[in-house]
Amino acid sequence: MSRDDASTLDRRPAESSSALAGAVATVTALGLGLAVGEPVPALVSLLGGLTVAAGVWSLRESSHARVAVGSASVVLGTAAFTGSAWLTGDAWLLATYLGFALGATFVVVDATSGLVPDDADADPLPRMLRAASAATAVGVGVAALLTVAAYVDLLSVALGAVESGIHPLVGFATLQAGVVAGLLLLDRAVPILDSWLPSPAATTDRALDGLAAVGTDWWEIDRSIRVAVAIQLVVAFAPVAQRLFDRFLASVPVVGRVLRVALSGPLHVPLAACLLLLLGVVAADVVRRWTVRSLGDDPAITLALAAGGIVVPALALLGGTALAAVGVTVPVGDSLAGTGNYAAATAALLGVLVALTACRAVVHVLSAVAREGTLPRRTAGFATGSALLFVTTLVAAELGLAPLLVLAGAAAALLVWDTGAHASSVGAQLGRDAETTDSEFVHVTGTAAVLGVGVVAVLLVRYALFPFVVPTAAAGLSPATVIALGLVLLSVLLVTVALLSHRERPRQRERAGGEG
Amino acid sequence: MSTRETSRRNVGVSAALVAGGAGVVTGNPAVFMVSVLGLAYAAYQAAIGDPEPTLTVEREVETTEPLPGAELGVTVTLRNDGDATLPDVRVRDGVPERLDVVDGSPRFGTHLEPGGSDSFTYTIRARRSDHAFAETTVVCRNLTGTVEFAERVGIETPIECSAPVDRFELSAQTLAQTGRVPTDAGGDGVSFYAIREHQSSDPMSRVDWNRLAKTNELATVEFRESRAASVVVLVDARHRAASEAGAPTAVQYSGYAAEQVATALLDEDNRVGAAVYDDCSYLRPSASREQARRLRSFLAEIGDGSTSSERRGTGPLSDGSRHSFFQSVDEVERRYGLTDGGDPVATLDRTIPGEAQVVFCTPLLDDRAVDAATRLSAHGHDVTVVSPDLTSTETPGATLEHVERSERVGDLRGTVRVVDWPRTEPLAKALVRSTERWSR
Repeated sequence: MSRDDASTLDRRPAESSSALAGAVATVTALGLGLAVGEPVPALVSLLGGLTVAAGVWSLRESSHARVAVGSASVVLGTAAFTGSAWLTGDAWLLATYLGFALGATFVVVDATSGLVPDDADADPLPRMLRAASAATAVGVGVAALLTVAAYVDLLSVALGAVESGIHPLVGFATLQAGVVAGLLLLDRAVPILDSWLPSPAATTDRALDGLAAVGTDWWEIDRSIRVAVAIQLVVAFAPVAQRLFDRFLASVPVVGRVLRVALSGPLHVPLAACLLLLLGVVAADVVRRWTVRSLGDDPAITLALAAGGIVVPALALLGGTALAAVGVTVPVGDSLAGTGNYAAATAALLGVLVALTACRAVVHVLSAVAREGTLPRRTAGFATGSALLFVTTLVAAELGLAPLLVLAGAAAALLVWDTGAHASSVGAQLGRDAETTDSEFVHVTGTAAVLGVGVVAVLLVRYALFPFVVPTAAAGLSPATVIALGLVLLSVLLVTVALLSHRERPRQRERAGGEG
Repeated sequence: MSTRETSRRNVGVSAALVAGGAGVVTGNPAVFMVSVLGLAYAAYQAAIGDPEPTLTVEREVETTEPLPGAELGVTVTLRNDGDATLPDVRVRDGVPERLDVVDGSPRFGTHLEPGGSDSFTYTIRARRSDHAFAETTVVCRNLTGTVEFAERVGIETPIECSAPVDRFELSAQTLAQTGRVPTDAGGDGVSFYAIREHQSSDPMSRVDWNRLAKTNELATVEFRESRAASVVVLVDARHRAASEAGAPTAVQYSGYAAEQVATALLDEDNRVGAAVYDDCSYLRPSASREQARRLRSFLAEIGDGSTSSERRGTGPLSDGSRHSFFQSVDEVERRYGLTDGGDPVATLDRTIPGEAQVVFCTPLLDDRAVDAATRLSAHGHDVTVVSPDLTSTETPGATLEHVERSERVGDLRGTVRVVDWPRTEPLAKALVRSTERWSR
């Protein structure tokens, strides 16, 4: 139940016309994309665009689950754009695919939920793009770290170092440095562990108090100790010092041998384990604080908005790992061959991040243009989409698209604009729920008939009338000249008919009155 | 009326220029051909003339006097009386501001052939009041949508939504005068009451002749005596809150109930007065013809939210037709030297005639109203509480309020008559339902 309140009216474009505009744009993008180049990248880019449009529609629902699905769809759609770029070698072809796909996307978005909604400040799309970009950037960082880890193979390096043994003096110095680092980490980790305990008991309290007493702050360590450790770390790697230390150990009969064995590795392993444990605790707390700050006051909606930026990197990394496990690797470069699929995942995620950033820029520019009034807010998607379809059709004509398809594409772009603008005006004045199919049908029929007749007339002039009436050889003209002349004459004829028709029905700016 | 051009005419020309320029630069005939298509579209938009509508708009409502809460269909018909086809006609009917559209849409788009007509229907839910439709907006566009003609049309379709109370069942506390309130006493009347032993002073017309013929004993037939009552309609004017934004306040509901009850009682020749609970303004009971007008004025001022002093200055009181014996507790105490501690119930009890019944219109939003009704009953007045239910169960707080009010109603039913009046149904219906459970 609702009062007939203008503020609560659903002013999205009228359903029938906008559905028709979306369908025409999609079919045009599909048909011309397939006709101009390879089917796979054309299909991938168009499917990506439609996924983005579905995502934007879902994003503007109130339920968090729908918002999360919308976010994932938008990021997956942009990932498809990246995939299309990967699959296409030629830049002009890529521009054509993306032009058609984006044109259809803009039209479908405007038809379903509006590209630039009335209340642009409350629109979740820019917030979602920002959140998903941030999450994807984190994903890129994680993937890059994994790539580096796989490339360097840190575990093998560490194990190799332990196996080969280190010089006792280096071991002695690093052992001291490790202990100091452990004491410093302990000072940070104990309060964190204390805050994590849900119900402190006497034993845990005693244990934590003991650890806290051991832990120390950097400035509490005596300056002489700090200096001594630092000097040892520098001196330990000097060959002269190492020789002197060897001589010292050799001079001590039994203890020297024990120290040599103990300092060359065995003591470092438990110390490294303790350090890693403490470092994990501190890192976990840092991550927790960062997560809490990032999620803000409403974690549920923030998480839903960022869902795409979480799901897609997770899929890329898990998928890459799974593929590497079964022996399938995606080649990225010879030098990164040993990194499994992490390098490929990093590259793909980087591409998604770039595409998301481009989407943010497009949305920002469109919002700004609509805010300035250069582009009507309600028809921004239809106008941008049909313009993209139109221009891309002209580009495709240069890439060898058949003239009939060029005309059909241009006519479809004009029909999309006309239908979309009409749907938008109907929606703005009467709302989406009003019954308006009748007048929409009449309007669309009129435009479609005129454009259809226009296409047929142009084709007749191009292929039948003027080449037949004006033999080029006899007149000494090139065929292109004759065709252009014929088309110009046809244009003049059309404009004359329009002017005559207009003169018969003079336009009245002000009327005296009327019944209604 | 206004005619304006929409800003869509440049698209065809722009497309033609872009394609023509690109065709010239690239030397591609296919691209150049597209420019002709753009021009064709532009020529089509330029060639279509302005709409010149001659339309008749009619509105039909299922009933113009619905009951509150009833759903009624509204049908709007458009007829093209002109000679030209109107390809794009858009209508927005002016739904009354306070009425909800429960089904369909008051907005419609269609095309109309010459002489043709089309209609659309939507459903609104009636609310208690008189409602007027706003102006209907009609917009006609030409086939290309480049020119728009708009006009607002006023169609008079008033809706009067009310459910007057025809009868209010009073208890047996009556005056000595003959009226229409049935009593528990035998005497003159129309309905049979009892047979008693004949007395020599009884009129011959009351002798039970059938009994005399059968048993040879004289007996007298008694009829149930009907008398007039004196009634004071007491309005609880303390709660000026509404259940939702734009809805009538509790005082307005109580005032409405008081007016309906008072009018019904006056029509049955009772003496009816009014008073306000807790500022003790008072209109003395009367059965005169003028009393209906006085009551309306008195109760309307309560609904407006004016104070007792404002009512005294501007109301019918100033011409002497209204007796403000009690303007406020303070004034009463000052004028008469009463010291009842500012107790409005005590003040009212002293003011209201001893034989008068009290109809207390209160939303029962606090225990003071219950206390007032109980005490007035204890002071010898037959009390009937008419209580509009303004509570809801939409939020936990509102639910708590609803439960507390239900408990108050339950408590009161043991002492006085209670008419529990839900907002969603007419008062008359609530009265009938409540009357069925009362015993005389």
